[in-house]
Amino acid sequence: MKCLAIAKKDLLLELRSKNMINFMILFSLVTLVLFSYTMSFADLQSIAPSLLWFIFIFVGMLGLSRAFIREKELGTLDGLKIAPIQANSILIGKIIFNLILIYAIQIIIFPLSIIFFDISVKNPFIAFLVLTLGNFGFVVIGSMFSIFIINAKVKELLIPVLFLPIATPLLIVSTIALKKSFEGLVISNEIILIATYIIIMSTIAMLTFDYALEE
Amino acid sequence: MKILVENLTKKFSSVIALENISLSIKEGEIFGLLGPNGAGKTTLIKILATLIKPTSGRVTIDGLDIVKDKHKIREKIGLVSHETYLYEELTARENLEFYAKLYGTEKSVNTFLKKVGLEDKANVLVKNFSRGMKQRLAIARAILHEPEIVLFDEATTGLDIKSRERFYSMIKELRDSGVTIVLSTHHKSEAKLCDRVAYIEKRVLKIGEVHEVLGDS
Repeated sequence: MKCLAIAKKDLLLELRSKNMINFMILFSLVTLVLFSYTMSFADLQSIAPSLLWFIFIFVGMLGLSRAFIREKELGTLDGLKIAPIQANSILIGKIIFNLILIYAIQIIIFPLSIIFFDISVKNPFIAFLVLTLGNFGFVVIGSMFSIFIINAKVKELLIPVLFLPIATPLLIVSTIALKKSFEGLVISNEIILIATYIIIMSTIAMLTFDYALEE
Repeated sequence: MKILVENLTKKFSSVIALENISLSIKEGEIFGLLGPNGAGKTTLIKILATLIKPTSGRVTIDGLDIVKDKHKIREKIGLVSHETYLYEELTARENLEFYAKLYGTEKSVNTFLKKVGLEDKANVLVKNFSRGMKQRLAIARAILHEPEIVLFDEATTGLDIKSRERFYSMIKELRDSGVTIVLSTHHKSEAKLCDRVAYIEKRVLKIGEVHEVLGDS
């Protein structure tokens, strides 16, 4: 359970420094307030799923890109690399940490979005499940790409360029699924697609991470 | 031989960092790597620490290949570099507990804090430590899993004379407990701690006992 030690350490560092979580919460709340004041509730009902994903893309990318950059900046990445652990333990540790962050945002933002946007959600449980599943896929891809860019000069700029095209299918299906769940429609096909996508991307991440970690 | 380096070459793109290096290090000795900046000392230490792969040649530790058996080798080595690998926002104890979990060691971190004289600073955030204290904690981190080999890569950079003296006595203690030590340094005073040294400048120029390589000065 060495991955849990890595996730716990990252969580402790984040709770002490609050480098990311404060910005993530602030950005999410400002976006919610901004849209709720500037758009009609009728419009919000139809674009709320896209808006929610818009928030998660931006706050997620901020956190995901920092997962390994912080280790690099602190000079601690080599400390992890020389430990006798599987490289995938590091990746899984980072995924767990990023998931905790993004789910913390999700737990705050999802109920607030229903209140601020005044949207009717026929099946809130399924909508929450879709967000949870979509964010899982989002975090897996983001964590994987954040190691690929670790030695690049423009790390934070490079991650959206690499990440967004790959994540687009997931985001489209997740947005459709979220919209359908708001309307109370069946989304089993979308859930299967998202789950398949996650399995494929997780497999690629596990197979490539060891190579990506090496200089 | 504890460490055997045979015809080792390392290139970074077209830049040759190490060229056809061969040397051997005996069990329990302090072996020094000397040379000017850019001589390839850090590259050699990083290869021994399994952080980078050789371009060609072979390195073995206890007969284990550094590329194929990197996980087994990582259990045998500890690395202290000018980077401490410590998290500034964690306390000394939290740092050691984290690395102890990664190395799967059951020993209490208090033993190691005591060993490096930081038991009274266990609950202080590392960001409040002096450079000397950080390096002492870095040694504790590197020896948590009781490695057979400890690699020191210019680890005394930025230390004052008092901290450096303390550092030297820790190295001697490690040697006395049977640990093999590889020490990369610029300092002649550190080289004198070594049983043997190699003067390298991309390739091994001289190897032998300290007085043979450096003279009697």
